[in-house]
Amino acid sequence: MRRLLTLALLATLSVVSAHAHLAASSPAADAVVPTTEAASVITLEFTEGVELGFSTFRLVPIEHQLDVTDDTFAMRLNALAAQKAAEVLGVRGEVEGEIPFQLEPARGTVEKFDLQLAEPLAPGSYVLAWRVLSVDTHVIEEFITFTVAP
Amino acid sequence: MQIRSNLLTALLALLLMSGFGLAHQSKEVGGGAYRVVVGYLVNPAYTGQMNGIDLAIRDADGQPMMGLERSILAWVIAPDGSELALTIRPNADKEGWYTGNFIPTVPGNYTFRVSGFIADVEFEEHFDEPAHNDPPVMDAAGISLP
Repeated sequence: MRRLLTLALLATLSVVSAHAHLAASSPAADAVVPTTEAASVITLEFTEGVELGFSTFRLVPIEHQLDVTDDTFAMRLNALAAQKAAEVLGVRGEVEGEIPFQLEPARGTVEKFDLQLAEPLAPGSYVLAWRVLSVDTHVIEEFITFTVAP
Repeated sequence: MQIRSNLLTALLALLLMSGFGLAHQSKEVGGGAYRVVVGYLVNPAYTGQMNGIDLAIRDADGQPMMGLERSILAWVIAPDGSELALTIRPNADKEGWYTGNFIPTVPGNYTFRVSGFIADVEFEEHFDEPAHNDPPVMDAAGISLP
């Protein structure tokens, strides 16, 4: 009986700690894509469903000019992105320089969805930050970076 | 009697609090723009037991810096000088804290090297006193029995 209770507790803890984290994205995290392949659609896939109506997504450029060929490029970019993500997710209204998009689907509880941009992204580095409400009611803040090479 | 009991409780709380405060090593980086705090995840640390780096990053106002798991590298350095690169991840229980696990196998002082970027600040620091008991990692034989 005690063993069963322990197993039940462990199973519960495992479910609770799952939450909705990014499983995959296009472009991939830290990807450097050539301008010719700069898509006007960004796809995100989470490990479990997120409530789009209660989630926030922000796509903003990183102003710093970084050397893409530097070995530490991804680390530098993510450090700047962490600061930017914290900044833009704390803003209620529109963020300066923010790139507009439409969610597809616009609402609902989904694991995979698209951000439809009006036009392909210009060369530069970007941070896509989100605060999502997952179906287990946890709020998760994360971000990815990617770069459109000139 | 009640006063004596309260005094003992307060003294115990003070000792515990000072113990927690001393269990980590703190360094300023970026000319004081940020503070990096490092210690053992599990204290006291014993050989053969899962442990890890307990790493916090704060700005000058003491606010936690989050989302830096892809910008920070950390190594644990064993008493014989051998190094192990740690896989850093956010500590889900503590905002602005990060961890990466390892298992110490010999008693002694395991230290940590941490490098990376916080916003536009690059840093590299060696934390040679991450715990203040001697030795920082103790032999589990001393507390083991069949």
